[in-house]
Amino acid sequence: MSKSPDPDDGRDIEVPDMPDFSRIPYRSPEEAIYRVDDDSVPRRVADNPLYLALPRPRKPSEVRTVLEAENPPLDPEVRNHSPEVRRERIDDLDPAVCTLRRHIQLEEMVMSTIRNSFAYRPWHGLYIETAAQLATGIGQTASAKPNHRGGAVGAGSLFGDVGLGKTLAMTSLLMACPQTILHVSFRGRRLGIQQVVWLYLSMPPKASAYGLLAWIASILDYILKTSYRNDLDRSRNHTAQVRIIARALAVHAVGVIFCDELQNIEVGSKSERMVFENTLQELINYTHTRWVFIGTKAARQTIQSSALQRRMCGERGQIIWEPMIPGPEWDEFFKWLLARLVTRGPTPFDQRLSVAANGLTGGVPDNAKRLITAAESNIIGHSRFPEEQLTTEILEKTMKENFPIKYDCVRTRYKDLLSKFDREQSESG
Amino acid sequence: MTGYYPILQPDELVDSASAASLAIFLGDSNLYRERKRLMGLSQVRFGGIIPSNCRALQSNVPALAGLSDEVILDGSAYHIVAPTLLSNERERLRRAIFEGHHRLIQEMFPGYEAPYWRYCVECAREDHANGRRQCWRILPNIPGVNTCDRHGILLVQTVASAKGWPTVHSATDWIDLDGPRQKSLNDYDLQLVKDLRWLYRLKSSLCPGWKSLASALSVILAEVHRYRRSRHFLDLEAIAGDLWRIREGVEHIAPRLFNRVSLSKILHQRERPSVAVYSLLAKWVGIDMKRLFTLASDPAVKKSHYIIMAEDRMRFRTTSGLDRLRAVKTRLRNVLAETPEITRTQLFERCSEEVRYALRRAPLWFAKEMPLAKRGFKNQLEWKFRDQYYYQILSEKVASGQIWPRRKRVGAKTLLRMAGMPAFLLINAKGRLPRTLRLMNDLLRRQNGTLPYRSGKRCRSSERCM
Repeated sequence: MSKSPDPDDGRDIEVPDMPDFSRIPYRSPEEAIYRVDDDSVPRRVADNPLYLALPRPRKPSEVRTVLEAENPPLDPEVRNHSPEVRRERIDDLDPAVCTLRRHIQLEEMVMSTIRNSFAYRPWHGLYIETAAQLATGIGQTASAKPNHRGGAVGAGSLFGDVGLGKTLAMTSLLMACPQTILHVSFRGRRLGIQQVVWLYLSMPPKASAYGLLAWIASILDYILKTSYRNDLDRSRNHTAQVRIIARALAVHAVGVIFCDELQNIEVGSKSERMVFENTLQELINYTHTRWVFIGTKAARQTIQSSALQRRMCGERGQIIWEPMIPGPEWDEFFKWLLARLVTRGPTPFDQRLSVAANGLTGGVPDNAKRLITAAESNIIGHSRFPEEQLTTEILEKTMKENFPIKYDCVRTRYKDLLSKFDREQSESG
Repeated sequence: MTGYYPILQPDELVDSASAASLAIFLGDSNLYRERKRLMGLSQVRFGGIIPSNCRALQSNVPALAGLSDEVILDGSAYHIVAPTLLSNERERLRRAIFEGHHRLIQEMFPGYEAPYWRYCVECAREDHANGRRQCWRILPNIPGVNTCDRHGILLVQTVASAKGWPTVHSATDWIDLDGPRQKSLNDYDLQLVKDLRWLYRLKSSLCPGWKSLASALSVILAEVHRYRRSRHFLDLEAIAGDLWRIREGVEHIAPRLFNRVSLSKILHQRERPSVAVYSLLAKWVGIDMKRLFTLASDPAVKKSHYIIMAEDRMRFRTTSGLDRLRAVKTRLRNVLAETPEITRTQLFERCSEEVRYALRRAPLWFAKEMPLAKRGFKNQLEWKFRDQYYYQILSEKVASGQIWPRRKRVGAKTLLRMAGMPAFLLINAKGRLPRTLRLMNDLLRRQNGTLPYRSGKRCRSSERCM
């Protein structure tokens, strides 16, 4: 991809030709295993192999297992090792698990979007051909407007500040779901369909319409070993490009596209954003693929199209993650962090310490991880802290020394929270 | 690699599925690029009942499509044409299908493709009712077929070129579910398509080859008395004449069959006919393809040109010389009694083995009892036996002293007259009685000590008479 022009107010930045495949979640294709004799399957999808091949709904404990599978459990024996060894193990900590309540809500949104994207498809023996025909109708005046029967209504979105673990949580949940399902035969009938359940793409730095199409084509090529990107680059106009991608989405029965870093569309000019929105709208209209947008709050406000704004509210509504405030949710997360310390002596959970950590990190899990690891690094092997336990003072001092600029930003809130907590404690006796 | 390739339906042509796949992706692309992506080469001709360059196709479609070698062969007319091919031809055809260019197939089967795609309306309606994709099937597109074997109705011919160049014709775009439905009244058409269905189901498990099939047909035709000229010769005129009478309504099955030359080429194993010809001939002689193939797979038929000849040879080998001579004489007498007006040439063509044997072992009996040969300069076979006959008579007369002349110097005419033979025999023969001439020269040399007798035909130096 070449350097972008700057016609209106778009910024002139260099855009890579290909997405970074090393950062894209990928699962090997799996042969379909259909749910059989299951009363829990809705009757409307009882004959739909695309739906029946999806995993069944998970229990909260299963969601926890899925998320914790990303984090290796802490070996308590580490605490007996020398400080040098323990310093090395500090970075084992990964804040993939935020709080279970948030993740269950997210998992419910992700999986219900995936399921509904297939449940509302008008499945029949010639589904692929019909869907491809529908996709080819883009830009043709004679083609009939598609009747989605609720297929394109729902999508979803997850917005939140940087560092809340949106991407990590999303990819962890997606990796627990099959990405490409191979349908060889269903109930004695050969199908020969490659179903792409989900597609995760991180928007290019300058999210133009072509960038979106190119990214989808490249990722499909990466997963399925096809050559859509080549077709895209050689197509004669924008309509043809949209048609190629729409056809690819139809032919591979792509379920949901998770569009991360939506805030990158801000970089483009106003007209580029309009083309982007129109392209997105056409893809939504002419395919049965659903879209989930992930980005910062600013990205949400960038989308001007009312139709797209409506799409962002899926069946489970919009999910907006705010930084955590002191309370049970934060306490749960902070306890989880403390349990993974590699200090000689474990730090017992203390309500004041929890409030102080929240105040210093702004309730952002990524910041909390950085603060805790930095504090750990400061006290491990230090002669003044033989037990190597974290205290409010240590956290504050670490913040001052290691994150001075950030500390200036959170200092007021930190002091307010601590004073409020102390006041409440003294009042309660 | 192409993104999607539909699963081949039962009896569907590979090229029909390829057309369906291309129809999806063609959209804004051009045909050359899409064909190259799918078939490996943009020049490879698309369409037809025998595909080519399928190895490239296999590598360019998703593995999920299940396009194995067997599926490709099942999705072509291979199982229909292979049983009529010899083993080396079959191997060549397989090579052409998987690795070769379509021109190889064109060389092997010139004109063996229907110009336009055909379909059965009822089959198409069934596909539609069962939610299956519309497709071009194998049997309706075999040349000569114009009836559906399952529904017995005439096929609908489209104007979509089966050669598929430069356009891809997806069946979905062409098949009209409300097309005409007309019942086929031609037994030959129905029999042909049933035979082809039987062959297709066999999946090339029975491959006698076209030479054995021709032998089997000859054997079956030889069982009909009026088609036999002799034990080894079929009366092709009679067969062609009878075939000509049924040509109305079946000419489309085998347009080139109804003349003696074509029939002769087929039965004498000089030309490989299409499967439709075998089906037509089999039906005409009152059997079906199954029996024809079973007979052709019989080792006895494979071994011999005509099974009858093989049986006779076996019988002759087990009998003594006198018994055999007696049997030959009886056989020839019977033939003469059945057809008193038979000429020697006809007798020879009908029972050539017996005639040869009789001329070799009992030429005098043959000359007395059997009909005289008609004169003919081109009848080399006749001259050969005549030479043998005159030589034997002349040598017997000389040995018995019947033609010993009193005069010192005599000519060949005198000697021939004395032996009871025409005086101008050797002159008229023009060198076609070499043994008799040699004997005559020997006699003249002994009698006259003069130059040998010169026949009317000039002798070459190597054949110069003594």
